[in-house]
Amino acid sequence: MNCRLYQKEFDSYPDGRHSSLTKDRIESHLRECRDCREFYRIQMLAEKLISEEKQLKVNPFLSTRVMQEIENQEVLTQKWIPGILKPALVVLSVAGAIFLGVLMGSIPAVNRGIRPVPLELSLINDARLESVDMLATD
Amino acid sequence: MTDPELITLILQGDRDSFRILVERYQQLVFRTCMGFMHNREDAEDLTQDIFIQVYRSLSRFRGESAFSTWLYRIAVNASLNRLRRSPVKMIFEALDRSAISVPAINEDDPEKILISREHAAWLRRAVNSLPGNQRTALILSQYEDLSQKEIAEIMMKSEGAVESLLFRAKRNLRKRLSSSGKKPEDRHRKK
Repeated sequence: MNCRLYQKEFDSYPDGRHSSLTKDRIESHLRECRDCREFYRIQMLAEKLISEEKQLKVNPFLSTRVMQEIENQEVLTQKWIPGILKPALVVLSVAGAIFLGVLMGSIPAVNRGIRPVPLELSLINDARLESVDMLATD
Repeated sequence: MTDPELITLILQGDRDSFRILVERYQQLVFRTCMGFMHNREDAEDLTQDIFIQVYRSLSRFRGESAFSTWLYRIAVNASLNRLRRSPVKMIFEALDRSAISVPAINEDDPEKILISREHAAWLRRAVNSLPGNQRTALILSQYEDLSQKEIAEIMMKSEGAVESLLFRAKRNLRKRLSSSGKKPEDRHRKK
């Protein structure tokens, strides 16, 4: 088995499992070839380091931290929304009322179902009309 | 209680069910994050962020795949995003931390401990220099012991593509490990 074949063989076995025959051939080649020995050593070292990282256990309080963070964010959101929404709602209501007023005012009276004031009545000067109070006292 | 049952309860507002879900999957997510970050504190912070993201987007989980597959996808994307956020900063941080944050070493000899730490940093640099897809396939295979079929489902690729990614990842990792200069023990031997 030459080096290229050996390394290909090794790569095609992600979990490092080989048949006993292949294992014997690999071991025999490793005894003879310095480069492949070095390659094998690197491979084993990488596996050892990965295995050590894999064995690390997560902090047992992680779930508590997660739940606390979710709660904090929800409280923050609840506080934040009314804080922004209250003035926004006031501004929107005022703007809406003004808009409706302008809109109502700009609609012709006929369309609103109100009988239009005759021209002669609209020319009456209210200021010169006699007061009802005065008539009553007379 | 099964995952779909828990998810239904969570969506109905039962927060305790989410705690159960976190406890069930926290080790899985943490291990995946460790594969990318190689640092306990970063991996734990990222795990926490991932679960918060999961809580917010749980209503978008359609149940077409297993919950764990969906969770792996989120974990992988979040890890890659975290590394992409500031690659230069991450490299310097990883280099700084490599001297103080290493897996447990059962050695008494200070020189052996030093070599082991340098080996860890050496391997991390090599893994981090792999292209994103190769790194993801390698981490899911080596850290999570997932089959090529499971990796294919998570990465939304064919099994053949994953096999090829794993093959290239190992070949590139070996090249990087052999070409990154002298190995730690060789440097110490000369001293």
